[in-house]
Amino acid sequence: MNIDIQAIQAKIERESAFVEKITAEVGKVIVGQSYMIERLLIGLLADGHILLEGVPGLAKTMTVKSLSAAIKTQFQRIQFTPDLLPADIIGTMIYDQKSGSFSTKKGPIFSNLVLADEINRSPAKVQSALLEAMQERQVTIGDTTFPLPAPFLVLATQNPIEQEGTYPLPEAQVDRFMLKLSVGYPDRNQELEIMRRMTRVDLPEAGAVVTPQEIINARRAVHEVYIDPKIENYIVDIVFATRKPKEYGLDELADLIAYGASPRASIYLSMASKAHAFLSRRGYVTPEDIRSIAMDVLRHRVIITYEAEAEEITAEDVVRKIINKVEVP
Amino acid sequence: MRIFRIAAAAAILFSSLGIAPLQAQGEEEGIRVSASAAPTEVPQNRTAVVTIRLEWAGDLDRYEITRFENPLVENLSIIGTASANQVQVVGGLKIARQEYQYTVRPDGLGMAYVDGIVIRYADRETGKEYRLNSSRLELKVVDPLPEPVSRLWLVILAALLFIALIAWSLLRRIRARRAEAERLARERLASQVTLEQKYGERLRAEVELRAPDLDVNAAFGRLAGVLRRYLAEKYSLPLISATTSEVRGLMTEAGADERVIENALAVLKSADVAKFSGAAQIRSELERAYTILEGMLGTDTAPRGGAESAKKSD
Repeated sequence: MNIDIQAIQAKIERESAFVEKITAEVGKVIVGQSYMIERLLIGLLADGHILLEGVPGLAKTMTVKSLSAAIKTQFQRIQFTPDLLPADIIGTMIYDQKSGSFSTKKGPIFSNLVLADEINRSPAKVQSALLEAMQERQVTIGDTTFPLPAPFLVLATQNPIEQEGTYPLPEAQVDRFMLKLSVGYPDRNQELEIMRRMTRVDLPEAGAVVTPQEIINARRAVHEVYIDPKIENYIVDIVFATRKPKEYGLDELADLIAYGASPRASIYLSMASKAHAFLSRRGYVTPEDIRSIAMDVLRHRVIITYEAEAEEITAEDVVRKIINKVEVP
Repeated sequence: MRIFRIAAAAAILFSSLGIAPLQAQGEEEGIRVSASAAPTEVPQNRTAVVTIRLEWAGDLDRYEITRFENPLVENLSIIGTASANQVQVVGGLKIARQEYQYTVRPDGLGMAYVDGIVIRYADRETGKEYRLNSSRLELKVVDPLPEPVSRLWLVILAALLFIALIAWSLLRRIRARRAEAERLARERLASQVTLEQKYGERLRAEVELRAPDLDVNAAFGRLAGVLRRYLAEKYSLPLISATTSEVRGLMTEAGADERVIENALAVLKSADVAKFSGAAQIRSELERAYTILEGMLGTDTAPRGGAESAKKSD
């Protein structure tokens, strides 16, 4: 089978033109964090929700706000608190005394970009309401089902510290996020630049440079990125290695993994790697794309055992070992 | 006449039993002597016992017996002597008995003889002296019997066998070691090929450029595999699980020459396009990559560290 890679390449060149614009616009506000910005774009292009984890003050919220500002989209931020109710997110039916009828009041989830800030501060029923909407891309209020707008992307943040009074997301819920990002501190020069930029009188703001239609077109182009069967097998090998490490010569991991990654991992790894290739202006996926994105796709899908926890081995350590062991095609 | 015949018959009988008849002094008076040998047919490697027995009525000291010499023997050697006294009461009559035993060993095959001995004694009461002759005895010396195997010999034999077994096993082990050393030496000799030669052979075996129906994309994959394995072995790097972009960093860290890195990346990038883009590759690209790899395997320079420069394949 010969693929018209030239045509795909040309389309990608054309459709990925907005990437530079959006990156530059976000870069006006955000210093560094190129990893986080790239992953947000991958989520946007691959239609996958993202969970951001990092200590407070790393510009998680600001990055998401800047991204949404750079795209001419609706953006809603929901601050998750312990007293939040599902209706506060999805909306509710309101009784109109004058007309004597119920009218629908849509919640903040009816937006293109939704920032669920500190998602683990709300109880499970609120989390479930959001995550159900994420999966189904529709919300039912009363007797009516409303589709959510496209593009629809949920970016949730959670704080790895201050675990008291939080409701950790169950594994099944976390699995719905395509990527889980671990946001780190900026380096010294970036920190200096952040300090200078944020202490000015006129704080920088991102302007809208991309339309939602451009994103939708780019998504179509991402779907056309060629993924060779060798790469597909490589993905399956990595995912299977999380389930049956012994078969991949990783005997030492057998007792450290309680549950391997679900088939969603294979799906998301394939989709995210295509988006990664798209961002690299490449019409086909290479092992580089897989290696680059694998950690973010797998770190929240590999459940380690108590034995691993006792030995202070994290899911990231396990995934890293797997990635470094599975043979590249 | 009849009495004479009976006496003669008794004399013959006593003679055949080896018992000398009593002297004429009467049955109760005097000493009776008898001589016997057991066995009468003796193997050459065994001994026989010749017994001279003196017997009389009354106490042991009734007669004073003159000491007598050992009997004369023919084709025999006396190797031991013994004597014993005994007094026994039979039917109220006291019987005294003296026994002289001679242990003899045959000197050769055939007949052997023990001559009779002369016994002189005197009655202590009457002072009367007497003289007796024991009969001559004959023995037949036959072929020697096989000697029974001694336990000591068995022990010695077992010890010898054990020593022989140990010696054999030691010898065998020494021979096996020598054979193993020779085999290793032969293998070392056979493996005196450089990594470049080894992977050059592998490249030629896996990528047949002249094949008319060559699948260029698949050939690119095999070619990249040869290159990765070569570099992995040469620089001891995990290049099998590394992506093309990771190869540069790993090789730079390992101290590889920049030219080698550039060549490797050129081949790997071409191979990546061929392997993953799904587009049919042109043959000239494969030939170009093949030539680059051939050049690396033929004229590759040692890394800066120099540690791997002398590295040979196993």
